[in-house]
Amino acid sequence: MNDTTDTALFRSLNALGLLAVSFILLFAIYQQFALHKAPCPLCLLQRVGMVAVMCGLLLNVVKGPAPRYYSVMIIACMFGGSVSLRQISLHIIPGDPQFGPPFMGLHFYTWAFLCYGAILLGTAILAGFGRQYQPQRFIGFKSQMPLAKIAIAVTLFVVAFNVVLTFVECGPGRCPADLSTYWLFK
Amino acid sequence: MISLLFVLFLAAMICIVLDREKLFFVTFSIALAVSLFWFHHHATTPLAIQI
Repeated sequence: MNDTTDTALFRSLNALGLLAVSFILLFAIYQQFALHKAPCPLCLLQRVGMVAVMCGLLLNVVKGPAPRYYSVMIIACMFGGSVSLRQISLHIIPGDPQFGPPFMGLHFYTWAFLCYGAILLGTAILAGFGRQYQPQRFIGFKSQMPLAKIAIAVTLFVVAFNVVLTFVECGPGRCPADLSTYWLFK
Repeated sequence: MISLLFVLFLAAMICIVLDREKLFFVTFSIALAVSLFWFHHHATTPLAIQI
């Protein structure tokens, strides 16, 4: 049994979502090295939230769209949004030394909060299209469309890269207080 | 350790790619629970907001 046109379209849209979130994480990693400032624990938890969102997107791509998979994305957004809101709250007092330089006028934790809000809105809109929901059909990596193959490969690479990078920065214990050094290179 | 969180979510993603949905939800739930615990651990600094 093949996908209907609507299901195939929504798999592709979710694949694009995977690439978009991967881009966000890769941009964060790029800024980490460009600014020579390792991410703080709350920053890392916001990256974890993005990875959690990618789980829901990946489910929609691999198994076909289902309401419970969009629920995974919503729950992940609530977690990530809470962490970024916490970090915003820590620095909201006027005169407070903010964490990290701003990017286009806003700090990264504020951008993260806006991204989570946008993902939440996008999820709510996408989930409302009932035509996409067909009986679940698992499509293996080799049988996926080219866009989905690229999205899945990039996603797994980005998450694995984050595993290595976070371990290099923090090691097996707490993250170092001095964010200009990495645990592995001390 | 925070890299464990990424490892758990990576494991959850591998479950998806291998078509193990129930195992995914178990792994995802564990990963989320550990993430919440780690968030609570790090969110201990009192906020400087005075009412």
